[in-house]
Amino acid sequence: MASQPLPLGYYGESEPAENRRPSRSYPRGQHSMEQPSTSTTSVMTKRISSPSLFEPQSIFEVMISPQSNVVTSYARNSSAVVAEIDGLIAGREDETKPSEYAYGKARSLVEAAYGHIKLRESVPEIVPEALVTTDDVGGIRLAWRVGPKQVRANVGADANLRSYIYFESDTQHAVEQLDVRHLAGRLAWLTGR
Amino acid sequence: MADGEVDNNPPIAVRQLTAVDLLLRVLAKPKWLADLHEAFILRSNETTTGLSVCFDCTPAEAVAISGLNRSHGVATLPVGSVTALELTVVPDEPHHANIQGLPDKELDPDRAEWLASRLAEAALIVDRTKREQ
Repeated sequence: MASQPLPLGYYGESEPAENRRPSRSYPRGQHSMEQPSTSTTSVMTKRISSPSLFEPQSIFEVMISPQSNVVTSYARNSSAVVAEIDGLIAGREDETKPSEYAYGKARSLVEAAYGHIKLRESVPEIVPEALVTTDDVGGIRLAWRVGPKQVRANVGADANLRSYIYFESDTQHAVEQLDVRHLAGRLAWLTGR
Repeated sequence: MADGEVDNNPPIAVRQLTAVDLLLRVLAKPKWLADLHEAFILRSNETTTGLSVCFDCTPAEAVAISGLNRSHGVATLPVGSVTALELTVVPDEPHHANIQGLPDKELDPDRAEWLASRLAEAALIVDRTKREQ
C-alpha cells in the first residue's frame, strides 16, 4: 500500500493495512457546504493514557490549539463511549437510569458507527470524546464537538419517543434520522476527514 | 373580598424584568458544566411551564428555589440574550421566572437543540459548587 500522510497524533496501526479501504469521508450533500479543516499544522497533540481503561486500544489524545486554551480530547475507538453508556445503566449519581431500550440502542449504534468509520477510512479515525448523559425520562444523549461543529444523538427512552441526530456548524443545522450510516457520516463530517 | 376584611394571601408582587437583568439556571448534573447546552433542553416537567430560571437572588438561593436535592453549579444569562431569540421571560414569583417559547425536543428537535446551543453561548457558569439539600 502506498504510504499516506497520517493524521496528527497518530501513533500506530490498530488493524492490518490490507483490511483498510480508501477514504470516503463526507456524507452526501456536504461537499459544497463544509470543507475539512486544513489547519492541522497549527496544532500539537499529546498522548494520554486513560487511568480507567486498560485496553491497549483505549488511548486518548488531546489536541491543543496554540491560538486558544480550548482542549479537545480524542478517542480512537468506541470503547470510551461504550464504557460511559455502560456506566449509565450501572447507575450513576445525578443521572436518570436509562431504559433498556435506550441503552441497547445507544450502545449498538455507537459500536457500529465507530466501526463503520474505521472500515471506510484509510487510517483509523480519531473521534472527539463524547459527552454521554441521560434525559429525565430514561433516554440517552450523546454529544460530540469540534470547534463550532457539533453532533448530538438523542436516543429516546422507548420506541414512541423520538430518536434523532442533530448537527450544527456556523452555517447550518438540521436533524437527521438516527441510524448507523447517518451517525458515522456525521462523525466523519465533524472531524473533517 | 368585602371591605374591612384582611387578605391573608395577597398576590405577591413580581417586578418586570429588563434586558440587563440576570437569570440564573441551576445546573442539575455535573456534565452540564462540560457542555452547557444540556442545561437548556426542556425537562419533561418544564414542557408546559417553560424553562425554570431564577433572578434577584444568589446562586445558593437559586438552588433552594429550584427544589433540587443536589446541584452542581449555576449559570447566568441576561434577559436580553433570551428575548433576542424571540423567547419570552415570564416572572411568576418574586425570584422565579420561566423562559417560554422553547419547544419540546419531542415536537421540534431542530429548534430545541439550536436554541439550547444559543442559550448556552449566552450563558456564563458563575458557580461550580456542589450543593445538597
